[in-house]
Amino acid sequence: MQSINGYQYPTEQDAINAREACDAYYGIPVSPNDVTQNWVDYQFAELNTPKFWYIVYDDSLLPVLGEPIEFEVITKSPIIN
Amino acid sequence: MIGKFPKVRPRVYGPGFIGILDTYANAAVAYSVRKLRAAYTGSAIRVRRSSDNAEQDIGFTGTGDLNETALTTFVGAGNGFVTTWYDQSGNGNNATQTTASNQPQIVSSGSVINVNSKPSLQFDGSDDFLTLSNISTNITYSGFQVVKRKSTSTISVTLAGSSISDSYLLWNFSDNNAYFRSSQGYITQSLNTTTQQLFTSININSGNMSMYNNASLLLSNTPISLPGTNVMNAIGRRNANYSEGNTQEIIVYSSNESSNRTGIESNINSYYAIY
Repeated sequence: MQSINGYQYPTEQDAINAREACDAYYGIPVSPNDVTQNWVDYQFAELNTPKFWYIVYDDSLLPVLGEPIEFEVITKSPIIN
Repeated sequence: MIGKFPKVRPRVYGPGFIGILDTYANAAVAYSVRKLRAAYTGSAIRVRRSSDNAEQDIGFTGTGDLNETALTTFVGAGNGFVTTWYDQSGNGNNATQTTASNQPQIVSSGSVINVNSKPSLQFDGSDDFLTLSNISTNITYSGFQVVKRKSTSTISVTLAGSSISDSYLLWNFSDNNAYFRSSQGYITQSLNTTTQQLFTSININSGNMSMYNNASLLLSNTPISLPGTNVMNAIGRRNANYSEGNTQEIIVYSSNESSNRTGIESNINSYYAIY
């Protein structure tokens, strides 16, 4: 279990919409030939019930996505080898 | 002078640039902050600057160093992030990151991020990584990497697969052991370093794996059996685990370079002055 500070979405489309809002805010991509296509990416909490999608907070997201929340994500056991 | 032509002396160039891949050729992939091959005409990296998110390719100086003047001129007083680490092997397997927040950093507040006076890609340990096409190695391969782990509690991973069961060249985390895993299994040995290091990983199909730290043998042994896949397609990430530290060079050969190992390591150390 890992505590995440970020943004939680019940569907993948909601997460895509949030990602696109960040892209629009920061003007990504700047040019059609740019490698950078997204400002931020979302992740899938596949082990949680119900499953959900989320974006981890950083300061650049505050003006676009607002105040983050704390939630728990079930993660796999740490890898050893 | 019918029937005769004046002798034309071939133009003789000076000593010229000779890269490590000119001496030790046929790498499968090769990423670096220095030029590795005389015939390579591409750039070293492509960089996104924080001021307006514009991108630009950054190449080399005449002596084969990263063109830091071009880099800092482009980035200005802000930060610079690597969107592409170009493959200098000739195989075109460039390592890229299309998400801004996941890009490793190379300029901080207008200054190039150096390790031991050479530029480095800095991975943040939370989400930074670069992806590439799975390198087409044989079961036998050799990897040479210049890396620096941030602290003994953080992860250092160089070239690895995205799945837990995939291979990797170096996995060093808070248990302070170095691991090297192939589809044959893995070997491990204590390695508790946070200084810049040259890590060498050689996997031989006959069932032997070897790893070296700064040209000194850490372990050479038959691997501990662990079913896995011969997949390596990311720099700085293994599954959901991310490297925190710096990387300056990764060269992989699809061959057993044991006979060239000391020469390759000497070449790398001559440039980076690691040990």
